[in-house]
Amino acid sequence: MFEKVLIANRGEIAVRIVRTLQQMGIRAAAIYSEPDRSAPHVTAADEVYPLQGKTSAETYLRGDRIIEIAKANGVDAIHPGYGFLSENAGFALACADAGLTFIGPTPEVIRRMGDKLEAKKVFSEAGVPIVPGWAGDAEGKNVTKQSRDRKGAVSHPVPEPLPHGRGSDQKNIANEADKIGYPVLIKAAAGGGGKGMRVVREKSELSDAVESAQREAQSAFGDGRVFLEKFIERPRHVEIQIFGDHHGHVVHLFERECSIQRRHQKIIEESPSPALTPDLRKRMGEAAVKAAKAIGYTNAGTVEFMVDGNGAFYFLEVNTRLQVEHPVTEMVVGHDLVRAQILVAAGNELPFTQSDLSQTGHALECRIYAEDAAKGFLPSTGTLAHYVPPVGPNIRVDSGVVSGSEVSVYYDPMLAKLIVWGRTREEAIARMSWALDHFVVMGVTTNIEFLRNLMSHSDFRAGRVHTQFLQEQTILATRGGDIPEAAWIAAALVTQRPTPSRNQQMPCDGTSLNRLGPWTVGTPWRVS
Amino acid sequence: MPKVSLHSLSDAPPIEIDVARRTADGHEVFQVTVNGDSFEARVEWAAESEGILHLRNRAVRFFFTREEDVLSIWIEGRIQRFRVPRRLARRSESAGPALPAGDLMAPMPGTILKINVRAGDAFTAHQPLIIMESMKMEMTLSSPRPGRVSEITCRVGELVELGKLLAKLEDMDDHGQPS
Repeated sequence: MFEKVLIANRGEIAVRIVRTLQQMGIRAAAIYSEPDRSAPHVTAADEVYPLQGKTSAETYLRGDRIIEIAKANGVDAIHPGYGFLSENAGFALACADAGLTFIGPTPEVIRRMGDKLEAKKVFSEAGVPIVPGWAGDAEGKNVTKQSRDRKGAVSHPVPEPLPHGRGSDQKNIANEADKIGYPVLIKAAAGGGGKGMRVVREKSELSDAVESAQREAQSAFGDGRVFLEKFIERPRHVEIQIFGDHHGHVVHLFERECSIQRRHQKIIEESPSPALTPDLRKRMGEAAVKAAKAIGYTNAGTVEFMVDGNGAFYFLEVNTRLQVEHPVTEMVVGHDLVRAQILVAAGNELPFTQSDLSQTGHALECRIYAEDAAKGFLPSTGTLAHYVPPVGPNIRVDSGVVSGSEVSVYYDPMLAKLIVWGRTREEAIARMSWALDHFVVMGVTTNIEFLRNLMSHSDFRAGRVHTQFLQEQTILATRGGDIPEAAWIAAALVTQRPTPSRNQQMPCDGTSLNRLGPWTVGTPWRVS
Repeated sequence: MPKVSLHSLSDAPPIEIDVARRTADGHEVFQVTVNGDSFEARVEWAAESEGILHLRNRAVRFFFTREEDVLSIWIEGRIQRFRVPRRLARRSESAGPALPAGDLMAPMPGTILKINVRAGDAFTAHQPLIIMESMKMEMTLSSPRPGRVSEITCRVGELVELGKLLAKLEDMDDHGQPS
């Protein structure tokens, strides 16, 4: 087993990985940027190493520097968390070259699954349903080579100039869109996070949409290639957690439903999905495992699907890392997924077989973001004046911040994940509602009250959700309603509050007199 | 009875709350009157910007922040924002501009231990004028500027409430004359 593992990440996931490492008796090494020097993941770790700079590119994305630190300090393995270098095949390869174990799938699997078209091919060949579509000019050898470059090197390669759709290309796309049938979805070959994505409902809108998607993809990913897919109206996002070891075992740990998304990013996840029948669950799980076995998948991964209103499911993509929302799976299956990742990476067999695994109860996760739901979910920055997460049985909070933390523009504005477990979905929703009501965050604007309103929404409570839910529904950013009497009175009494000095002998200076209350304000005679 | 005008930043109409401070069993309590309804309220300050509001048959934990003239309070799972007069909202203030003549008021509830001056006395800047005791803390009250005492309105041993007028003071010009 490893003696020391370095976490190439920050925030709540780094804290969460430190916790498991320490519980396994493994030393946890953290890295940190300048703004993070006193962050919770730094204080949690057993040893810490600074990275010069503030931005992600200067710090947590510096694979070369991170490997140097690891080699110089007796690190055995690197856990990449999610985001940053977690799906960078070049980094995984560089770790191996440096004699370090990368806790994740092999570089080859990361590379192949990182190319969405390649991943589709692999899953299609394994018999997994794929959304009807057309790969267009993004298909073929050229694609594979370019995507290898994209994921295959630690430094960013210079992208090749792209054939932006013109003339015959455009005509070709129009023909293919006709074949698929409108509405169609334009997606970026190198995409993610909704960038370079367009829904086209009518033929007349197609060419403009293709061009703008290509432009957006080019600027976001340095790769302007796009492809077409049948647009599934109001699909659910359901994903299967898979896990493989180096002894030929691959299992699935059931599903997570992540249909509640804003700007194509998940904010609520749950397991089990209210939409899956036992039969559908079994078929999706088996399909994911079959494809994973076909590519020799090891360690943790997630196979994402769209599920339509008729229970048909379509492969979307594979995430070759631990997911943000992995805690909901941990709560229903009762296994620590990070522990399993570490065991597998160290060469052990999986700590569970498929028949060991079952879902118990219902888990729900809300992502607590520093953002303003009233202003298009714009990130909010500032210092956390108060941060008091809720506590109680079956409530788990994975926090990346504490009171006093600075929420900066440099990193993702997710403050924490609030996860609850209940025997039933109703119980989980009630517990989540309570927990949101008792989650104190002041100093930045958060989505807590927005999430609380969602918990009360009748369609959400009934499990009638899909990925367009938040675009179609109006959910208020604040709780609204009358201001309770206690709030008025607390406000009134705060304005009356004397501020006693902490000194025993109290030379009451001119500063504090003005903090005393309305009677003393305005007096010319400062107490000094 | 002091009135506090509160303006919510939501659509709620502003309200006025009468707040009368008194001391009961060594605790500071407030008689609060809202819309003709009068009841007792008490706050235990748990930290610099949090407290527990004791109100009727409840004890409610709350947290607050102040920025400029906006007071934000987290209470009962919601954040409410109020506009309060700017000078009250200030967390601290460095020496401000010279103010016209006025009164010296009790900066905290307590007992008057000693009065060092009499009506008519001139005093220098920072000269101890009145010494108070409150919660076993001694506090010396003085003025940052020289002046003259026009009237003493408290006596040694008196238990005074916060804001009670202790002395009337007047400015003096550079030549020691009342200005």
